[in-house]
Amino acid sequence: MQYSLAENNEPKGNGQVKGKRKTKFVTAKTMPYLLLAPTLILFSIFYVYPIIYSVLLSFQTRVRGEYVFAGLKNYSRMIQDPIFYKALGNSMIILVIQVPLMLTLAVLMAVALNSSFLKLKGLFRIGFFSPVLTSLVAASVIFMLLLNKDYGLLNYVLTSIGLKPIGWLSDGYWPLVTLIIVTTWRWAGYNMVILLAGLQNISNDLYEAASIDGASKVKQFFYITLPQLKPVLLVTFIMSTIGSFQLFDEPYTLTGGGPNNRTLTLTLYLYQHGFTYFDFGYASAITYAVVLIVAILSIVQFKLAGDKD
Amino acid sequence: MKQRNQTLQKTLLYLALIIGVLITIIPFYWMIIGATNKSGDVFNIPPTFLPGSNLLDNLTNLNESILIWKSLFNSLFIAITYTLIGMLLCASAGYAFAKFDFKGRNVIFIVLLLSMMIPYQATIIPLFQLFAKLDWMNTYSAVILPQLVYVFPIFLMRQNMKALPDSLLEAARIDSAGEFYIFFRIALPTMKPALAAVAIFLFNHQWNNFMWPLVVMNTKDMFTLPVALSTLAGQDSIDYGQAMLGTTISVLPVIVIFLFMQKHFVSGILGGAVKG
Amino acid sequence: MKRFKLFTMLLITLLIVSACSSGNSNSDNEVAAPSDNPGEVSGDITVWAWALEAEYLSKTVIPAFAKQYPTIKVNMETIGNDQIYDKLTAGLAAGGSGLPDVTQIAVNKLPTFVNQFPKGFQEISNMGFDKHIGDFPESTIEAVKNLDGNVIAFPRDLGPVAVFYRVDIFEQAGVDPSKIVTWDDYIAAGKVVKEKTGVSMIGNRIGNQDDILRIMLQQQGKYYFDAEGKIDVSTVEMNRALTKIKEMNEAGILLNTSNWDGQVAAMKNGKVATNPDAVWWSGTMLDQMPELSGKWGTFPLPVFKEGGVHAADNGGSALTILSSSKNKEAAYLFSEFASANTEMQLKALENHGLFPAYKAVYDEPYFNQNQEYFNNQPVFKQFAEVVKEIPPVNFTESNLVARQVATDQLSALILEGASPEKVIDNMKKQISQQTGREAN
Repeated sequence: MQYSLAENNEPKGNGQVKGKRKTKFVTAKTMPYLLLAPTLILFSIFYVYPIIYSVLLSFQTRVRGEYVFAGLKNYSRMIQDPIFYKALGNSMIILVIQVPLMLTLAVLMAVALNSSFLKLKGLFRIGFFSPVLTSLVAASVIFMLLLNKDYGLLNYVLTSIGLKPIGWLSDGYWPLVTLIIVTTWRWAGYNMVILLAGLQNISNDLYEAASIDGASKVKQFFYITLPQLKPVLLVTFIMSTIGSFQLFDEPYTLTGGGPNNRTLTLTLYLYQHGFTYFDFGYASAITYAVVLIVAILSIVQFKLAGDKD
Repeated sequence: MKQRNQTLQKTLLYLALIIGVLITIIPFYWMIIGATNKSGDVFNIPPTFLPGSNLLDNLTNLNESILIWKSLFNSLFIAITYTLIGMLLCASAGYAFAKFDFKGRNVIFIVLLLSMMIPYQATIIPLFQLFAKLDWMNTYSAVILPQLVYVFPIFLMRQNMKALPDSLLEAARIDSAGEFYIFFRIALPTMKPALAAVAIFLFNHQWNNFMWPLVVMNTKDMFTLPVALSTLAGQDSIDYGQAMLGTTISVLPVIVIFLFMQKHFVSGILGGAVKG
Repeated sequence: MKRFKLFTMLLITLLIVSACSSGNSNSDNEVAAPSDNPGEVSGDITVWAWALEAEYLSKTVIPAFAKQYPTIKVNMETIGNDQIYDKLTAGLAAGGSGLPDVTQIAVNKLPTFVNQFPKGFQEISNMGFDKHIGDFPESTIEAVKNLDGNVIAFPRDLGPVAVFYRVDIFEQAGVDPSKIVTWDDYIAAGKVVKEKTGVSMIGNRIGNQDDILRIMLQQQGKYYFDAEGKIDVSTVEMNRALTKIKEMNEAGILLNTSNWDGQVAAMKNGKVATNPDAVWWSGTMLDQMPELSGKWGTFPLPVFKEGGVHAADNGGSALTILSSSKNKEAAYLFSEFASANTEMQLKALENHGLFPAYKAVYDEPYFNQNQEYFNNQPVFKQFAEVVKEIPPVNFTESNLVARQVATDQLSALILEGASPEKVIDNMKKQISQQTGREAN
């Protein structure tokens, strides 16, 4: 390949750095620990305890207000719970369809907004970013007015051009489709910002050299932009994978998981059990099932992306 | 011929972007419509797409319902403090992961990544117990501290720092520059676009943080904006005029931050330091 | 390997720590009745409530209470409805920290909270509440008792059900609401309305809630559970209710409004002609659709057979004292003042639109007044009549699970064309799978 990844031609590690300075505390050896210390201290206080607590909780059930040890009961219940599988299936569908769709859009938007001749970049950027800023409660009303099968504006348009009205929130797979569209609408701009920052790190020299060689814009996109963007694309991929399994606000405000659980996500399901039914044990079991699945998926993505860590 | 082709391409690109932005900002625009109309008007079919004249009434009502300005202050104070400390934490952790080979690096990184996969709903109760035992409820630090380790921007910094050539750091070390000097004076300045993005994500994350400040803040003078706005909701109903005005007010600071930070996205290629 | 050992040790340590700390004792449930002499009780209390109730407590109750009990200071915190539950859940699960002295809670949520956190709520029967029991509807009192039969909350507002209808649309269709007695009449009228005006008879939030089903069950004296707490869905009454809902859909008179916002929009824009639901809708109608004043009226809930009960209750909330309260006497005096006091209850309705559960107030002249918004009908009198007949049902702590399942199955019935029998079978299976309860 003509343009290799920056990380590949870097010498790894700092082995060749000799401790020239005698007994200095801050050296290339101690530096990473010093850099990480505040993060790790905060992490062990505010993450480790809650995580261990909720892991333990997943082996307990509450009987008339008292927690009792229940072994693997919560987990075996989960394995037999058809609604859990429904939620898992929905999350998988969102992962497989929504994430690639959204990231493709985000890359296109970022590249377009990065082009040198474009005016009003700031306006476009804030425009695409604005859905993340808007409260979903505000958005929910307009969605109800737009999406209702019988009196919604969208179906009014569809029927006036001779198409059949669609049950956006009621019929068949449409509620899930609606959820995918709304989630994409809300988060594409967010990913665009991450990718824009990544694009800035690509050296202009690469493009100049390619232009001199006569490579077209499309070729440059596939042979320079995408490979160079890979580390940052990996971030957005993993974040979106996690995001699709933790999808909560959108189904919560838009559909409440209905109709008949067709838009129920795993996180919405665990919230139902934890905060509505007070079954924290079962909610914790679902939590760690989610963590396990996402962890496996992320490892696969790391491997596919060829990240060596 | 080529000239005309390019003009056509540009026009198409503008057209696509403009349509895209219009679709994206409808709900945002809708919020402003809601904020300037009477509460029931948002339910009109077909929707009212023009601003109304009820802005001042809504503001008066909102002022009566919640401590909007105190909540705005709380949110700003918390989010700014959080963003400043968070940027430093994320940059140093990301730098450590990207540019140093040390014992335990992969284990620590994987543990951090794993923690990101836990839905926040699962840790609310134990975290609450912790703060109740520490008697730290209803304070700014109770909202700022637990969120400070935000793994996503650490990860983002790590990926961006990887693009930083090692030769640059090595050269500085040979010149016997101190490690902190290298970090602050050589590595960080090249990271402006990434840092700007991280600042936006940190600020936005804390600004929209809802569930945790809700459970840990107990008096209205300590409520952040999202928590204060949620008090407008009844069992089913909500006053949309007030709610949308409140949301509009709460979005403005993020827009300012965004506009302020985004100029770094276009700061061009990293200052002379990086060459192919 | 070494690392693993360290981790195991850490885990065990934490296990022990958490085992020790989980045994925290809640304060004793025995509290003497507060003295009747104002001035003897003093101190600060904090109260949580949402929206209208919060407005009622802070604007109407607290000033009046301060005059009678000058030594008690009440701090009112307005919190969103769902948010109160999240905060209560966190506080109760943490063994009673960060909680107020008194909180508002929806009556249908109460059993779940009380059974999961039995030590979290103060019993008030022995604190003097017993003398008020007769002043509240039996169905409500039954709903605010804990498993030992002790009252643990002061009922505040109620949700008696009737049918709100559009007077102008009915006139245009030539339908006489007083002739609608049974659900069959209702469906027949609905067909006429649809044919003559194109407007749907009823809007329902399919996939979002199960209100219509619960209303139809309760008027027949049934619910998802029987008096012993067994799952009770395989009944003639359930089949009847589901069949009628399905008929409405097949007759084309049921409009799916998907969620609350969709329902409000449909009502405001004349897409539906009736709404069989609780009195608290009047608040939303006055707020969000003032231009429809005079166009809405009410008629009694249709029945399944002539002579059946026209009454059901949907919603309603109560005030409850948390056991973690340091000042239970003051909390009791305040809650009693806010819920069992004629003058306050009348103002709750007049000034804040909250329909009181306190029956003693129903004879006041205000109830007989004609309401301008509601076609000059004395609607509050009509709702008061309903309260007297509401059949008591057993919510149980699994109420919210059952409601979720029922909501899902209503979607299957309407959107996926499942038969009532199939729906009943699924409900039974799913509720027992989720709750472990026996089924009839």
